Amino acid sequence: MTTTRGQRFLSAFKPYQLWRFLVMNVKILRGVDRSKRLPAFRVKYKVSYVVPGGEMPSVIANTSKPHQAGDVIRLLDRDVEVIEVRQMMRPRNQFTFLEAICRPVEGK
Amino acid sequence: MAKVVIIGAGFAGHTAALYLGDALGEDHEITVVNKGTEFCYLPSLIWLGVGRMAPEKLVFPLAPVYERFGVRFVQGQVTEIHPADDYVVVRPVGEEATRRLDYDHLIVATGPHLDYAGTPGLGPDGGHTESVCWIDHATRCRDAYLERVERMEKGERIRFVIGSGHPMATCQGAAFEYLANVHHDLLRRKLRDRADLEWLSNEDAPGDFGVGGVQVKRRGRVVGSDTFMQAVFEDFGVTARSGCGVLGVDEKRIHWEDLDGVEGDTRYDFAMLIPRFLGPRIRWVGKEGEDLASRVVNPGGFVLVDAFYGLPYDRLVDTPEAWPATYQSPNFRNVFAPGIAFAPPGPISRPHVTPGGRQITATAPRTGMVSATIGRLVAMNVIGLVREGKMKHQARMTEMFAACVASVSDSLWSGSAVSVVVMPVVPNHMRYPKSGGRDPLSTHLESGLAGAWMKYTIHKTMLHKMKGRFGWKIIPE
Ligand SMILES: Cc1cc2nc3c(=O)[nH]c(=O)nc-3n(C[C@H](O)[C@H](O)[C@H](O)COP(=O)(O)OP(=O)(O)OC[C@H]3O[C@@H](n4cnc5c(N)ncnc54)[C@H](O)[C@@H]3O)c2cc1C
Repeated sequence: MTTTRGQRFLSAFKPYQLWRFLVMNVKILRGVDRSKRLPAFRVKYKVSYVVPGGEMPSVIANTSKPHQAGDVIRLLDRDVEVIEVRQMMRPRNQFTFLEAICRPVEGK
Repeated sequence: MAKVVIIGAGFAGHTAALYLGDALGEDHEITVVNKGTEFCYLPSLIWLGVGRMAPEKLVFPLAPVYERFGVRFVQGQVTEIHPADDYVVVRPVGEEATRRLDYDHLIVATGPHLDYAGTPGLGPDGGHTESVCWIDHATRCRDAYLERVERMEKGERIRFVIGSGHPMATCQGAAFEYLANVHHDLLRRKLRDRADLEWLSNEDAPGDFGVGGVQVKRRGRVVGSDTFMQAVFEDFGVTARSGCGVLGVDEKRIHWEDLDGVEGDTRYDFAMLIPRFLGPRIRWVGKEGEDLASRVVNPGGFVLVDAFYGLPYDRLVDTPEAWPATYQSPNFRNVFAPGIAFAPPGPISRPHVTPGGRQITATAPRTGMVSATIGRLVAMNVIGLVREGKMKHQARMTEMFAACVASVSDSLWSGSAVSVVVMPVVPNHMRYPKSGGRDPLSTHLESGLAGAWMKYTIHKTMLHKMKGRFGWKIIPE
């Protein structure tokens, strides 16, 4: 891509630049307004919890925070530790689909 | 009476001080500790660096502003933070003894530590290159630049190299703006034909700017910032070399490695290279005098806040909530870190590792607008905590707007600027899945005279706001 003569002319043509200045101001004010007022965008995580070895059945649940390896969570009345989190498919809109591989926490 | 201590009076800390002083100044104790006595408007340092603006036009004294807002001001350097005992240790300027300042809420807004030492031979203090990252450095840079101009006037040919000075550097926008101003200033002096201008950057493509580039629709066509910047470089007659991590600088050459692991060097007569940014050089001390750094800061020294750290890049890009919302330390809940001081959960641009294992990535910028917005947010939350015991606000960089206007000259008649407006700063692929994670109606990329007007308007209005003058609150950060 190269800058054409027309573009070069327009980039210094004052009436056109006044219009661009107004457009930019509107965009900036819109951006400022949105970043000031937007309610936080809530992502929903649909997590399939898998405990290998068949000790516990898989569970699917919604959470508002993605798990990380090392998290200990309560699953079907037992404490399990998350050892790996995988993304099962690309997120769609607000939904993220995760698979959390877990192991029962010793002694619980 | 609550005690709030703010370390640093840059975009983040000073904005927080204005809002806190305005709301709590009369009944509570708000204290700002800053190394210098003046606020410096850093985005205009590029004009100082080519001798087009006097240093005094970029600064104003902080104390009179704070007096009006009921904020105490201490000129000094914070050397230690004791987050378990809620106090900081300050070395006031001109005093031998250190002083203890107690707090109920602490705002760490120290900006970056400019790590010239991270690249052998880099920087103005003992190195071979110049910098526009701070006012005294930019003044030195101007003197070095004008000395080269003098040599060119005598007929010498000079090679200018401008860009990033470390494989993990940030702030490419500032470096590009400096390059554009050098180009324009040399044109104005009718010396451009005696200069070779080279862009050397760690971005994987020109126009990445550490935010993964920008895409906009213009006249029905999608234009990326990479093609746009290539056209700008071609227009300026600049040789652009991207994907280069600078490893060291000697008196004549800049040594680098590129993304393929190929090493090379570039000869220079004048170089302005932005260093790597690190977190503040402050000791975090526990109750028994132990080092608390591992609980409060990341290995780079940036303060850990309410982000999800450690996510692989591919998950990070799809997890907008990984970016912090309150900038509150998870281990010490009365400590906040707005602006450059907080640790981002990862880069915004895709990270690259060379075959030899060296990371070359344009790291996440936290621009002036973003820093000031976060400063205001943290202030509002501290006001909420003091008055009602709870925080009410949050703002993530995946929902926050930023503008970088890289002026080509300061003239309002014949100037020009490359304007990059991004909403949000960190692409939010879930909110804007069809437009690269950005709001197509607010995101903007353009070059022209209107940008020069915009830069001037932002310069004037931001300084007006920062001085706390009439209507300061309605001027957006
Ligand atoms: C040349 C240049 C051009 C730029 N252009 C733009 C632009 O066009 N748009 C944009 O949005 N942003 C721009 N930026 C970026 C912007 O300036 C920064 O993002 C912003 O300054 C960061 O604000 P901060 O408050 O986090 O840190 P700073 O502004 O760096 O402030 C930190 C303050 O803390 C003080 N401090 C540090 N350590 C201590 C301590 N231990 N004790 C006491 N005080 C301490 C420092 O002295 C300083 O005053 C530019 C930056 C540069 C350098």
